[in-house]
Amino acid sequence: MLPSDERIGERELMEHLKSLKLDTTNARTDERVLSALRSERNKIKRKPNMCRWVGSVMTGAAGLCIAGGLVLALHGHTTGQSNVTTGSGGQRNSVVLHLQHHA
Amino acid sequence: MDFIEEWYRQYGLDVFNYLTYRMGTRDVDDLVQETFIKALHGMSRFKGKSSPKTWLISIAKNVATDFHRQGGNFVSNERLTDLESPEQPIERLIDAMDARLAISEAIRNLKASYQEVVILRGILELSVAKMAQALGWTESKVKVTWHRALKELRKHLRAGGVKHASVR
Repeated sequence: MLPSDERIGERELMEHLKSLKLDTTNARTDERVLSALRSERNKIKRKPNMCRWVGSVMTGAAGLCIAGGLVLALHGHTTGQSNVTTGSGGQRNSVVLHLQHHA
Repeated sequence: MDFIEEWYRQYGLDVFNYLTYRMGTRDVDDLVQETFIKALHGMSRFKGKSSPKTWLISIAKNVATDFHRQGGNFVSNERLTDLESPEQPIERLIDAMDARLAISEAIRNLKASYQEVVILRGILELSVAKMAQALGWTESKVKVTWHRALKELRKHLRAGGVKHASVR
């Protein structure tokens, strides 16, 4: 009983409060929440895949640039050597050095 | 990441209870969902210093505060009095509904900090230490607020004139 005109003891009040705890959620709460969690989890899983894909493309492009640079540098180096032997490659040599610096 | 579903199974009812009494209605499915989705996103921030239950309740507390701050209001008429199992004898059902209504109304009339402690300590039976973690308060603040809240709750119950309301 919960008397209205008497002092309600702490123990009694505690018992009443404890008894208020609900034993079940609503009929569809579990289904709704679990399904929302699964869909959110799938979204999170898809995100890293997308990032990985973009990352691979970027890495590939960077690799190609480095390879291209190396080819150019190598090509320039050999060209520079032949010019030295002919004795007329002063200007060429400076271009080769420039390319090597960039590579 | 499957943790979160396991946690829902273990602590979903506690979060549901907290939000139900904080909002004064059972129509809190969206808020329960939001709480667990926030937990899923913030899983990396959970360091295990507190229990998952305490951590989830602290998220639910923020969800409830945000809802109130944004001026959210429930349109549902599903009140706490609709909770009782219809299998109970009608007299018992009415008594239980009276008590539940009286106490839940009294809780709703308390200020927010008092509501928090009454729900967490009184209904969910959290320890003072766990309450302090969930609320981000010191233990002494929890104790002082709890005693003041009980005093205030009694006052509201007396003022509400509850008669012969037995619970279950």
